[in-house]
Amino acid sequence: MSEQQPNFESLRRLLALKRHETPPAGYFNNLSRQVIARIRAGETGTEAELSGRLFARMPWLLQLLQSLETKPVFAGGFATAMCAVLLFGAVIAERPESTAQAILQQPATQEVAPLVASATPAAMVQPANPMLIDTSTNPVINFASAPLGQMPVSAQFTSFPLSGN
Amino acid sequence: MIMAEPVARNDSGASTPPDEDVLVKRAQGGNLEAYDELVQRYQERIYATVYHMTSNHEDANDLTQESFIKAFQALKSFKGGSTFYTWLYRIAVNKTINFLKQRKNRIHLSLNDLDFNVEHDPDLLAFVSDKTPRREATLSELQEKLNTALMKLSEPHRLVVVLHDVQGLSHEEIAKVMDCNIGTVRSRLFYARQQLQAWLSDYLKPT
Repeated sequence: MSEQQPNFESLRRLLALKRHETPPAGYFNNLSRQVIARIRAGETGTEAELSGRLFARMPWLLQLLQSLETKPVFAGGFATAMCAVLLFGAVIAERPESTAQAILQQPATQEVAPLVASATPAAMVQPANPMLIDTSTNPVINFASAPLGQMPVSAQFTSFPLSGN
Repeated sequence: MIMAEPVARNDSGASTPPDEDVLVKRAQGGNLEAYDELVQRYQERIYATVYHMTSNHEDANDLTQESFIKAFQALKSFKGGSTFYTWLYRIAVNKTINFLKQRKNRIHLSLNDLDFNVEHDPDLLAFVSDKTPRREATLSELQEKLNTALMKLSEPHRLVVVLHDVQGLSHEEIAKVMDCNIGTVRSRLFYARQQLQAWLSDYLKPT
């Protein structure tokens, strides 16, 4: 039952393979920082130190940062991409007026005009005084524009059809 | 809150390095810089143990962090009866075993990459050489088979193998971490090795 039995030597050497399994490069550079950040966040009860929880919940973000830290080529490519984005933004930002003018110069009425033209002309005539429109909410006699005693009389033709009964 | 003895002693009576005692005392007083130093000192060993128990980097990362956080919260209860390292190990191991019991039926491997040195390890290269019955086995395949076999073991048996054959802890240290006697450690180790040898017979050279 002794551990020194020779028939386990081969197994022990195979188990030594486990010692070569290592976490992503740079992992241990940030681990203690994350632990301390989480302790501080727990003590203060604030969200001031979010990095620990953030990295714990989003390990891909940590891997990205570690890749930037450990792979100069990747970091250079990332920096180049960021510069390209900034340059593109700057170029776009220099031409806001031309873009705005282009938008303003587009005749907006062109799209509306056919709709107006297709409507009945008579229906589109607007009276000068909207109060004169005969609707169910406007009075037949307009007292507002006439002095007392000179109220205009408006007659309307009515017909009461008599039933044949 | 303060340790009674000026110098902490481990179970065998030997004094621990004084700087560790100082760091532990300062950390017990709430000094996070001191605790940061302790985390950096033991993070690799704690992570390795948890990782070899779970075979999953993300789980190992979470459990390692939580173990250190729990240790800090419980630091005032640490009286120096054992070394800080053994005490810390015990927290990490208990946390890992509880975690493994909870996720019993959804184990998935997320193995870490092998480091560069593995290509120069003569013992390991022998396993994928012509002498190996499975000649087509690559190191990464071997890694996966080995981890799958380890995950078949029960948690106590796997822990003994990891602590002894991978981490290099002595039987006495393992007994302290697992809070059992040395005889139990030895019998678990023997049984676990027998099991592994049977499962990995295709990859082991006949002795």
